[in-house]
Amino acid sequence: MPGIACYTSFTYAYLSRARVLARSLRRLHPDWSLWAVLTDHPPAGLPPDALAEFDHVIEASALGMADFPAWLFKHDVVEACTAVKATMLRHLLAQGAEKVIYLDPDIAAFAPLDLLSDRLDAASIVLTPHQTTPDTTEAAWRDNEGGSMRYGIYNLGFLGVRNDRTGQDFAAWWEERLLAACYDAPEDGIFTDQKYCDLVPGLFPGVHVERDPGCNVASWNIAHRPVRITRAGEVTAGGRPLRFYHFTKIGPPGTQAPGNVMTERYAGENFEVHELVAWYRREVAAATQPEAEAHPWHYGRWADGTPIPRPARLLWRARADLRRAFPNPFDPTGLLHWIATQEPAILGRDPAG
Amino acid sequence: MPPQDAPQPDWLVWSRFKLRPLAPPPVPEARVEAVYNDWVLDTIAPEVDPSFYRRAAGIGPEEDPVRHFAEHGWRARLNPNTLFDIGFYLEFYPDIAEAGMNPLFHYAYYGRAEGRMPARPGGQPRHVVEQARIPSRRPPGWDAPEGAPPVSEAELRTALARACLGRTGLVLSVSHDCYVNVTGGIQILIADEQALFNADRTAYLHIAPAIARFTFAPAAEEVLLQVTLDGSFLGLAPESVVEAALGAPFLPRHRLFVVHSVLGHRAAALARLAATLGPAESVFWVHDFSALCEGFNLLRNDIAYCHAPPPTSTACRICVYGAERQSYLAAMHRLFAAVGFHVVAPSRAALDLFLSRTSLPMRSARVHENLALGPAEPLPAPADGPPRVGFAGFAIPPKGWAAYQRLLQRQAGHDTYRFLHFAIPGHDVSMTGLAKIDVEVRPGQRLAMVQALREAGVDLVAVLSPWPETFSFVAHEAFAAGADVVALEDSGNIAAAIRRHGRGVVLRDSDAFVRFFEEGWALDYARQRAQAPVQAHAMHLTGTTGTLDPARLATTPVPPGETADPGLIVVRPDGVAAPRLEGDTQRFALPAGTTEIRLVSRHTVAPGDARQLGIAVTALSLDGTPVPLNDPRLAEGWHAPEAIWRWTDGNALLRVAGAKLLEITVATVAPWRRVPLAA
Repeated sequence: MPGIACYTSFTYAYLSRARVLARSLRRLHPDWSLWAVLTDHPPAGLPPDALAEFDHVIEASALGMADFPAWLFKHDVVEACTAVKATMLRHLLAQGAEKVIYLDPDIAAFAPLDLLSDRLDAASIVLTPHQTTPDTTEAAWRDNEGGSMRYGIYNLGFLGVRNDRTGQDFAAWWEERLLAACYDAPEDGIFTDQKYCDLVPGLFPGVHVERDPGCNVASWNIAHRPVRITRAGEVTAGGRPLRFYHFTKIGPPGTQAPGNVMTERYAGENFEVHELVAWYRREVAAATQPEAEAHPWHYGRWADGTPIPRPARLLWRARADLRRAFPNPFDPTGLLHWIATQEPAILGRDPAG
Repeated sequence: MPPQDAPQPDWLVWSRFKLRPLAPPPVPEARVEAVYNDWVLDTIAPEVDPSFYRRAAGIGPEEDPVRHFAEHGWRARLNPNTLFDIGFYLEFYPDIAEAGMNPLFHYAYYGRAEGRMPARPGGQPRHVVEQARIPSRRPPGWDAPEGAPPVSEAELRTALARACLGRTGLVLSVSHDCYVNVTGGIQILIADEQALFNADRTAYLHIAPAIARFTFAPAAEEVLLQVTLDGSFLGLAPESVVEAALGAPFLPRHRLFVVHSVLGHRAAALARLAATLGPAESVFWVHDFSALCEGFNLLRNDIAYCHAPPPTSTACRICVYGAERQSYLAAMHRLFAAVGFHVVAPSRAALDLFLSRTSLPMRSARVHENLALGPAEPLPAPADGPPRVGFAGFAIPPKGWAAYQRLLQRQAGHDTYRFLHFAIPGHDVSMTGLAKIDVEVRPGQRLAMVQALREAGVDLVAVLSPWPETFSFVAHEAFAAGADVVALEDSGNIAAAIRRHGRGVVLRDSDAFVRFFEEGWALDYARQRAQAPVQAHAMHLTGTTGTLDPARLATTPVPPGETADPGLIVVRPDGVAAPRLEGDTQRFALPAGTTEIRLVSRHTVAPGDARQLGIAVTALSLDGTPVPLNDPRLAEGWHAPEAIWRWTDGNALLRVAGAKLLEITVATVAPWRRVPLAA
């Protein structure tokens, strides 16, 4: 599989966003091979062409992780979708892709990404920092630079890797870390797959930090990258062509979805940003498959349908004895039964009941 | 007076006078004293706009708005002014809602200092963008009078026969609404046009859709038309009835087909009506830019002038009007190709913009202004006092109300200018510092706006349309009234008319508009204006189809327009694909399952070649595999293969059998014509 492989990782609840990403890439890069890795099982009644925007679809369970159910049970949905990224990267490198690009499913591309793929002619790894310009107010510092210090300097909504020795070494290192602990645990210095990558420029040679303001534009840097639309109809950010925008946590208009709040706060009077967001909402609505939208995450429940609360996952991470005792934690007669009798508070149940 | 070479700021694009900023008078003392002897009331009093709040709360002058707000208003979520949004504040800061505190008091006493936001950021522009809808998905609105009677073919034939008795001509006129039932600039112009034709022994049949739309009507739905004959509304008839009635043998021989607006009609049905009418000439008016885009005023997402970029641009991709622009333009192209229009624009600015952006085939293009200003007559010098700054018409975003409102908000409590809003009765924006003057322009009271502006002694009329207006009656009414006009740079004929008549100021954008007043440049303008002779004008209504010289229509050639861009697009059954350019090669991504596509382009003329020529293709490949130029998959619309290329005729069929990537290399033999070969 020569050429450029581009992949994204999601569950079916995010299918509409992933389709918007894939459509935006397809029109700009018809020669890229587009991959979807799904940490989920397909919902009943999903039309066969629901993933037609992608050239290849693979379930995370097919990537060959050891003891997949037991490992996956440690993760909530965001942790799980990020935890499989490194294994998928190695899969694509093993398939022979010359360059691999990862993009989050809530990204959309507006101009060709050749700038980034061309960087991989010289570099082995390309990362995009959340911020490339210092913030000037304390409130913004706390939201944005402070966020980077807690959750990671580089936004792992984008990653570029060349299939060379360094790229392969990086992928192996990253996979080892993610299989061990891809958790939302900033108190432990860990934030999913992202915070580990603060170490990458130190650990590996050939790392390019992409500071082009048109890359990975999002609420956390929009204040420094004003979006403009030229007379010729080109969209720019910070004076450069807008290559891709990261629509993190954007919700319906008028709601307090975190992406709405941060976008409104930092885009302010830059109405062109609101135009992009309104477009994105329309595209997502048009790409929505109702079966997928309403689909509960397959790994979010025990096999009998009982929702898995986060404390149950934390317990499972912490207790090697439970992991030995119950090889398949999704089996309701095993771990769930144990929790219901021994730790009912985890399920929100009265111990006496 | 500033010296002649005094630098003018770059945002001051054009001005009648060389200007310098004059210091505004001092701001009067705070208008509300601590008179309530109540901590809460005295804190919020400066924040409550009495005029705005009285209207919002529906209270009369006997009630104290500050007290009413504190006791009732905030709990009913009545906003105290145009800047503070109670609903937002309580929702965004749940701590305030939980504390049960008057949110305006919280904001004034704590929140402002804490950096809290009084309203959702982004303001009106964000709201406008979020409300924008793709035209075909907006709910269509019934536009005909209640109880309008149906009109049968026999009734319409009889009415036409009567109207055409003793007449030598017949006009079929098309617009988006029924001009005798709606008051507005275009409607008045059509009424003038009808009167002129009637006076010239010509009957005037007008059709408008009964259902208003912002685009063409769906191709599969017959449109019900509002039918008006010589100014009398007859009733409703489907297109087929009008078409059949126009086939009557007794109609006068000299016939004209005039399109003022196509919105709400079906392109194919209009083409059929024109064919049945058999007009000597057909005229298409550029009253707006709906021949370039469904967004007739070229406001991308209803918010910003887009400059009509190529339909394949990223700007069009993110715009509600871009979603369907290519199929809309294809329908427009078929209409123009079928009818053979003479294009008429009401201003040079409008025609130049239109021609620079279109590739529609047309027989000619010309300017015909809607009205002319008569010789100047002196008016008495303006009265003393603060300069009077008017806004005429609806307080809506496409007319630039947001900028005027922002100035009003920032001038609250100042006494530097007098602000006046001239609009129809009932259309009131209550803000302290803004005086409303009722004006209704309609047939019989055509000069009502001129009179009102003149009587109020308005110095400057803010005509702040953020898009290139094709004419602007308001700007001309202001000139006629003796006022000067403040406009924005991209306002088309408004800015052009200011320069032409030497009457006003052209500013770069709405920020410059606020600066012009806030920094006192407007004070210097008013001072110099008061020293110059103030001149009013008579308005001569001229420019309708009825005043065009039909003999000239057929003789004026289309202005030449050439481009190096073949404008190649791929039209699929389900949409249109944009190319990605790599040197001479254009690459198109095709969705899975595509079996055939059309290569649609501009036309060109090669020396000594009389064929209709589109693009000269030198190489073609599907999914990376070359396709020979004599391959049977090059199915229709291809001229015979030549030594190194094969010409299309501008609309060629290619069978792609499920390929996902199409690459085409095009030779540049001669420039392409923006206006393809005339019919």
